[in-house]
Amino acid sequence: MDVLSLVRLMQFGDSMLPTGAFAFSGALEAAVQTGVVHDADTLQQYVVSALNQASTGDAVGLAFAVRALCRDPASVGGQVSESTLTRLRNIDIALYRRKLPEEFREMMTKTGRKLAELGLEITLSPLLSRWMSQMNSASTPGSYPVSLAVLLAAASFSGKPMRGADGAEEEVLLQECLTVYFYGVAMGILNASLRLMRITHLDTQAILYRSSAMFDRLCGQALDTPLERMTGYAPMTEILSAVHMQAHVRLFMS
Amino acid sequence: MGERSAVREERKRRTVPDCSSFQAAKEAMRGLEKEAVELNPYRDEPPQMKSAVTGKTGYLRLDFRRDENMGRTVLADLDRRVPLLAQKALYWEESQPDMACVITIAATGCVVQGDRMALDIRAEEGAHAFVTTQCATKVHVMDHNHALQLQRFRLEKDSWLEYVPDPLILHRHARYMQDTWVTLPESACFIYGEILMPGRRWHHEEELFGFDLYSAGFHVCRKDGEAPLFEERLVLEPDRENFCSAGVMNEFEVFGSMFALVPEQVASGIGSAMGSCVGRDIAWGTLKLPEGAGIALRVLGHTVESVRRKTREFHSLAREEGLGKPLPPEFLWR
Repeated sequence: MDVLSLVRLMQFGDSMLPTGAFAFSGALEAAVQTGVVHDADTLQQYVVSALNQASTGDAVGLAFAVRALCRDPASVGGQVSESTLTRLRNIDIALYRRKLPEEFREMMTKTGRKLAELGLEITLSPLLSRWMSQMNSASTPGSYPVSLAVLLAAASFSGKPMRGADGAEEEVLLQECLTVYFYGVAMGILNASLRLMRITHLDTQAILYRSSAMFDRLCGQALDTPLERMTGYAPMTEILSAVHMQAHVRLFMS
Repeated sequence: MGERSAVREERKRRTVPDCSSFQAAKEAMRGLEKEAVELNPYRDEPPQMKSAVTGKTGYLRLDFRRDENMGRTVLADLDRRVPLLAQKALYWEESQPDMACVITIAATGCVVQGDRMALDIRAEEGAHAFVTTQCATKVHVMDHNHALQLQRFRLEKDSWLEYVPDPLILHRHARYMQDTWVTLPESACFIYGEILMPGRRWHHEEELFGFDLYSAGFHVCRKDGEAPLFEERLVLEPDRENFCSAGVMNEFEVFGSMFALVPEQVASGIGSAMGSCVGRDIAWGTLKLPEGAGIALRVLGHTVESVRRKTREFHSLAREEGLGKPLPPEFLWR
């Protein structure tokens, strides 16, 4: 890995990136209020379950979006083709329609839009500008995973266009995007936990350290799952999201 | 990925399985099985009767039609292959005297390895029908192959269809896959409920969550061939994930899910009346589905009875909001 791609990863993978993710807790707020999450151990379980869900759901869409972008003329400095945009829209819609809790749909589209806006502002990439126009014309919801794929692909293509026919660069980009995504899922919940429950920064860092050991396996799972076989099973998280929707006082938007 | 292959993939994804005849259903089930990557470890043939042979491929097609002369919905057409059967339509719902109620029966008493079942239920314009099973569906212990059920529901304008089977009990090492496809226009309403019991509680020390695979897909479209309004696929493999964890089942054992695919106004009425709660004995919540498709209920509990009470409450609310009258009290023997 070269220095430029490493620093880009650190910038876009940073939990302080202003995508608005700090306003969402992934139903952790309701989990803490109802006592489902009450200590470091249950918090870790909650994070692991969110990561598992992501690896067979949103991360699969992310991987497909990256693959589509790597096969596009944009990957060697050309214009993004209409067929790739259609493919991205289809992936985006598939992800959106598989999110049954309303707050989670809101979370994925709000942060997705913000990430694309921010990415366009700082990279001035024509690829991101085309993706933004898809969202603005309301032809696609603009979910976070697809926006992340477009941003990281745009950053990667501008630094070093894809050249290898053996797909090695694509593999690296896929791994990078998935890692940034899983890191974001874990950190989103852990950051929220600091504002919601009695837990120390050391505890959350320890949980992150332990759960990031799973990322390799999770990447494999996301890469092996076909788009039409995306799955998810977290009924308690869904119930908590419903409890949160109906709560009178809320600190977070999910 | 090129444009052609992307389009091809999209087309493949949107193909709704055809169950309108026994032959078509067999073909659809073969296609479904082929696509299911989660079944890959469980494709070996049983040493006894081979999978999907006559006697192990059940088929049941029920067509409900509104009969204006009789002033009620009738079971106008039926096609079946063992082990699936259906009783004649009865009219036991006191609050909905024109609603046809049908009990389906699996003549073999349970689902065993190599079984393939297809169910096709159609509610024509204005028909009101309720379909349930005779008893819980038990998916037996398996050491070869898997079992599969394909369910197809087609609703026409202004129809009301309910499919609320008794719980599904997954025995040790059961491998069970199910795919459900619903097509309904905006004026039609569909209620679908399921309760999943992860084993016979007192049977064996490894029974609870001892099954190998449970995979259930649910797809809802406005018209055949159109992109789905929403989709979900639950894949449960207890060996790969700990279900007791906080975000998944949080120590609860029984999972209940019910969909009310109803107009938005009806759905919001159900949602606000149902509320949501996480308690010590039961937890439930309602989810507003994408694209105004309706509302879903998720329930977790320690016993089938408590989960069933909740799904029944939701079912009753759907009836009340949609048809004006709640469910009548449950029969004493149910």
